[in-house]
Amino acid sequence: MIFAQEKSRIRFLIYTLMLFVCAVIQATPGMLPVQGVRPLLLIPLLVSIAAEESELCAAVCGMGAGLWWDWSAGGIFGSRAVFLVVCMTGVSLLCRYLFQAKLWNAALLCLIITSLEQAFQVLLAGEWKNFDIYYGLWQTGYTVVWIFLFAPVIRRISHFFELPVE
Amino acid sequence: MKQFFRSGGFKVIVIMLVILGGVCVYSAAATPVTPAEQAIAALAVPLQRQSTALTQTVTGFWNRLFHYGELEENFREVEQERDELKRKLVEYEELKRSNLQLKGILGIKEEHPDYTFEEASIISRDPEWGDNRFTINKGTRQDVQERDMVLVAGGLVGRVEKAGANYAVVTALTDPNFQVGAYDNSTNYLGVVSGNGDSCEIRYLTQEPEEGALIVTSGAGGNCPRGLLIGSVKKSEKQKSGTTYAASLEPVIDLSRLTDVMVLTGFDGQKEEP
Repeated sequence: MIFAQEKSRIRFLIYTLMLFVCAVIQATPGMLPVQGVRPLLLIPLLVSIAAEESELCAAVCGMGAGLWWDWSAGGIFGSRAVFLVVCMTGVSLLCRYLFQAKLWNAALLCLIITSLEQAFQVLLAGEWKNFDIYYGLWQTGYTVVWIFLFAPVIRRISHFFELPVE
Repeated sequence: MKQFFRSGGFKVIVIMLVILGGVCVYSAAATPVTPAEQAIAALAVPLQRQSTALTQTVTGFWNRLFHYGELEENFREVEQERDELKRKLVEYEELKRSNLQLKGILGIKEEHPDYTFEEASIISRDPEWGDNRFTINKGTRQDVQERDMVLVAGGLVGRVEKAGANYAVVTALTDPNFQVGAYDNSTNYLGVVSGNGDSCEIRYLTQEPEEGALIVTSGAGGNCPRGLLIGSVKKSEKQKSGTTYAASLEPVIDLSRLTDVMVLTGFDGQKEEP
């Protein structure tokens, strides 16, 4: 039983490492460009985790990823952390009480959150007049594509390490 | 779902949001760098530096497989030669004006001996901001301060927005929040250069600039020295006021390919921070 609990907690360590790697890759210049557009890797990964885990776990992951993202992107420190805590808590609640945790539901949630995040940052910076909407659309699409990689991986990890039902 | 709102987890999330809200307000209240950012930077800067170096190595290796490395090297040599010629052109116009006005210049300065620089590398760019903002690997420990100008050999690149102990966030001259006093180097008419997201433009010129005219910093305000090349005029038009002109500019360097910069940490006439 004790070993099972330890095994269950290992998945949080794996989530932390994955978030860490994705945050570094996201901020590294020249990584994963397609026609000059780079993806926001943290959002599909966070949505995948939030769909499988509890609300508190989703919020903590959102806060950690958001703070790192705020540091690398500049702007008001803590703004993305607040946004991601609220959104990931919402995703976790939706997947627990309303939606089934399916891949296309996760993709839809990822699409909505990516769009909201872009709009939030543009409004916060007051730069809506200069926002390139085509770049934003391409970036949203490229970001959503990554949910099809992250969601199955997170589901496997979550199920492999979950506590056995007694 | 009601159980969630009564649970301890919900209370923890609310506390987290309150703390994060406080951090946002503290950060927005013109405080340079919060302690939380410093803590993240202590871990993040070395990792981002290694990640960027690895990406550049892999990209360079890939290019060399297709002989793009030779073309890139030739292209860089031509760019350096072009930058040197543009810099000398700016110096020539400045000297010619002073002679005509009989002000006299003591000696001939090819370089600016009063400038102090700190070389830096770009370690991160956020995908959302594209080339308009980036992070460099030098900070207050290396005497890099807020509002220091950031240059390359060809001219101005941007300004330091915030500086931590070992990193700084730079706002490029294409960012809408960037503004600097400038003038047309061939006519000496003053204007203001600001970014527009994709490129930059100069406004409030009282005379229409010629295509290809060089735009340089005016030194107004004391935060930026005079004579730094910003770009060349692409297209000009009358502003809505009807009395002034605006012109779109071609920046001195392609910001998307920028990897190393120089921070101007000091120069004669620099305004001291209060």
